[in-house]
Amino acid sequence: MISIGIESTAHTFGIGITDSQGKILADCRRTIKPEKGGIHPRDTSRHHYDVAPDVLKEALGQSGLNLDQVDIVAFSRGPGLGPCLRVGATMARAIAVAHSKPLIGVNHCLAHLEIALKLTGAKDPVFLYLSGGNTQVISEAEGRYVVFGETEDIAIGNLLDVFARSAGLSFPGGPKLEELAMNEGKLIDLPYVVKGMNVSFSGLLTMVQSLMQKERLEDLAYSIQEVCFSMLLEASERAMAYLGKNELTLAGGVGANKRLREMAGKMCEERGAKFFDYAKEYYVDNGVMISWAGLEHFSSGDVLPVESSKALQKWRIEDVKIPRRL
Amino acid sequence: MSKFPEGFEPARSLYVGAEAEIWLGRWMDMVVVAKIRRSKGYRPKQLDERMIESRTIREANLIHEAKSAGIPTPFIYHVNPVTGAIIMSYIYGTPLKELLMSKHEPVLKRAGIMAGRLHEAHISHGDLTPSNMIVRDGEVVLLDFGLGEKTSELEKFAEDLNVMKRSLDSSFGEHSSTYWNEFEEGYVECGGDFAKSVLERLDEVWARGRYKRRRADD
Repeated sequence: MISIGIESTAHTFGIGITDSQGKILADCRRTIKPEKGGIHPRDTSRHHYDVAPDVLKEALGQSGLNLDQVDIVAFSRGPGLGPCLRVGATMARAIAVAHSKPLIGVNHCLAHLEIALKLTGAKDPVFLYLSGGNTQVISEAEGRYVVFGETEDIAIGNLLDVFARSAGLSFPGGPKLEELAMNEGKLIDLPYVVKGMNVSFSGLLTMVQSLMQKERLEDLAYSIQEVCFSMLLEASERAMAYLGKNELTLAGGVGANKRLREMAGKMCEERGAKFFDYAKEYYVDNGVMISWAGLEHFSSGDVLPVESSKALQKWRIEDVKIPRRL
Repeated sequence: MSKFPEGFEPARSLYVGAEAEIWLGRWMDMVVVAKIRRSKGYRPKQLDERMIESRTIREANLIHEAKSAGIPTPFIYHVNPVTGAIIMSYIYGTPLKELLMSKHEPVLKRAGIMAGRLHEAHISHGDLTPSNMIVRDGEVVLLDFGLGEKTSELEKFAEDLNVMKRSLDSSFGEHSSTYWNEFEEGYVECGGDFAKSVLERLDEVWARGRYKRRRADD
C-alpha cells in the first residue's frame, strides 16, 4: 500500500510518499526563508500555495508514480498555523476527491513520534518533543499519548528564534545560535525553572534580552543552550523515573540540535537507559512522517470524510487514539 | 571517597529518582534515610554545583518550615549542601501512589488537607505527586521539597494542584476524577476562601491555550 503525506503546519511545506513496509519513495520539502522577522502565518501560507504544485510534481517524479497509483492521501490536520494548515488540507482534499482515494487527517505531533519509533525501533520511550511551537514531555499510557510535562509559557524553539531575532540573526535562529554556542564559553547565571515535569522559559528570555549589550553573543548562546537543555533533560529524566521507563527519544526541529542529542545520550547513559537517535532530517517537519502515520491510521480504520475534514489549529495529541503500528 | 556522609551505614537503596538517590541506613544509632543528589554529567559543572547546593539547602529549610505549619514531614538530622546530602528520619509507611495502585484508599482527602495547610503557610511544593506522599496510619507525610519555594503567588499554588491533577490523570485513568474530587474536598475544607481562590486560578491555568482541551469537532 502506498501513501502520500502532506505537511504544512508551519514553516515547511513537504510531501512524502511511503509504502507500508516503511520504504521512503519520495521526500520533498520547501521551507520559507523570511528576509526579516519570523514566520507570519499569512505570508507563510502564500509561500506554501506557491510551492505546493512544484513539490507535488517533484515528489511524484522522485517516486516514479502517478496519483492513481497512490492508495491513500494523508495530511497534517493540526496543530499549527491556520492559514498554513488549510493549504495542505485543500491539496489533500482535491487529490482525494479527484482520484477517489481515502483521506486521512494526521495529528502533526503524533506523526513526529510515530516516525521516530519507526526509525529507531524504540518500544515505549519517553519523548521529548521540541519545536518552534511545542515543548512537551510525552509518553504512552493506555493507548494514548499523554503529555506529562510541557512549557508553561513559550516553546523552546520560540525562545531561540525570538532571541536570535533580537540579536539580528535571521530565521530560523536555532541553528545559528547552535553554531555560535559551539565553543564552550562563559556560563552566565540564567533563571532555571523546572516545576515537576514542566518548564518555563519566559523569564530567561527577558533576562538574556536585557544582557545583550553587556555580554558576548557567543556566551549568551552557549548559556541559553546549556541552561535550557539541562532543564528539558531534567524534566525528561523526571518523567522516566516517575513512569519507570528506560528509553528516550527526541523529536521536533530543536531535537536535531547536536549538543542536545549529546546531553540526552549522556543522561541516559548515567541512568542505565537507552537514547534512540536518528537521522537529523526527520527531526524537522517533513511529509514522510505524515505519510507514515497516515498508513498506520488507515490500517486502524481512521478514514476522514472530506466534508468534515476542517483543519484543527489547536488539536491536542491527547485527543487522538494511537493507531495500530505497522 | 564514599558518596555517603560520614558515619552513615547504608543498608539498601530505596529509590533512584531523577535527581537523587534515597538510601535506607543507620546513622548515630538511628534508622534514617539519606537523600543524596547526584551530579549530572550532562550539564556544565558550574550549573551542576549551583543546582545541587541550592536545592539541598532549600529542601532542608522547607521541610522544617512545613513541619512548623503542622504538616508531617521527616526530621532533618544532617545537611551538606556541597555533597548534596540530607540525612532525615525514616518514615514507616507506603507511598500513596503504590497504595492507590492496589486499592482505593480514603486518604486523598487527607492529602488535600495537607496541601491546603502547606499553601496557607505560603509554601509551594513544586512536585506535588502521589509518589511524594507517604501514608502512615491514615496520616499523609509530605516528602521531596527540592523544587518548592516560599511564595505568596496564587499561580505557584495553582501549579502545585495542576501537577497533582495531571499525575492522577496519567496514573489512575478512570479513577482519577474521583481521586481528584476527594483531594479537592480536603483542600477546600482546610483552606476555605483562600483555597477557593487558588482553585479559581487553577481554572484560569487550564483555560490558557496550552492546557485547553479541544475536541476534534468537525
